Amino acid sequence: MNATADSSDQPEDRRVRATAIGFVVIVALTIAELIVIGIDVDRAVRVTALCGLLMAKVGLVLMVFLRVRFRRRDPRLALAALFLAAGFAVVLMLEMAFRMRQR
Amino acid sequence: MSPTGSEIAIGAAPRAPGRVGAAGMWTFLATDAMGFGALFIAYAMLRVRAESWPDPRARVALAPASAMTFALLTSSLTMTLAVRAAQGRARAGWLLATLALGLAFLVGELLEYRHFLAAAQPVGLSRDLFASTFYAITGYHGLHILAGAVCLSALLLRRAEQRTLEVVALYWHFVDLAWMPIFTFLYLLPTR
Repeated sequence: MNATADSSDQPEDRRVRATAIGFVVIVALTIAELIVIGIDVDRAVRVTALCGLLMAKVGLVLMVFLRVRFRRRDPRLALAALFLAAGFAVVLMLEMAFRMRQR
Repeated sequence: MSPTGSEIAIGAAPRAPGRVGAAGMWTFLATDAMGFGALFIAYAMLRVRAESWPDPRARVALAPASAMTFALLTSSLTMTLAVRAAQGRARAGWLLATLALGLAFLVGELLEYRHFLAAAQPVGLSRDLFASTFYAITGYHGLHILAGAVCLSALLLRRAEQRTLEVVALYWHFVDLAWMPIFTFLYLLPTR
């Protein structure tokens, strides 16, 4: 009985550990964002870095907390694509507008 | 341990009640994401078409905003731990921690508004485009936090079922997710 309980606890422990690691990585990415805005580099480099970090954070939250998995027939995968597509659209629009203003 | 409601593929049969609740919440979140997406696109258009746009760091205090961000991130972790905790005090404790962090975020936001309005040159809703979009987007997100806090309070006051907790957790994580682009675009993205 105990052996059964122990074996069923192990995957749960692994999941809690994975969540904790994911959380630490998201916090680290947020700290990286704060560091990036303080670095004296070209604006375009900072914007690109910030957008990259944002995408990484959003992806991690989707996987770690919202538990979106890459499984077939899972509609959450389509929803995740929607979220990411909206994010990319905003970034591309900003980039395009920035280029237009530079001309 | 059986799979939780938020982890089951929605399209598969048979349809359990928990699965239906999660599917409903995912549908709601998809529509809500479009609301946030519309606000972000409006913000992007206004910002890039404006003749001048103030540097966010000249207007907003980054340290409190960062603290609010970390509070919200931590609340997602405590919410996950609440879902995974067994019924009883442990679960109530994690839920209480999540609620406290959510309320701390709201208090931080209200203090930020007060700081804006109490400045030598008050930054009201109609001061400029930066102020209007800032209040609209953070206010919209703040209302989501408030709604989440009400749901968490209800979960604490009455012993909720596991699937109800999982559906509320989905919502809470989404609100955390929505804050990330707000923090980057409104607080961090440099003007020059």
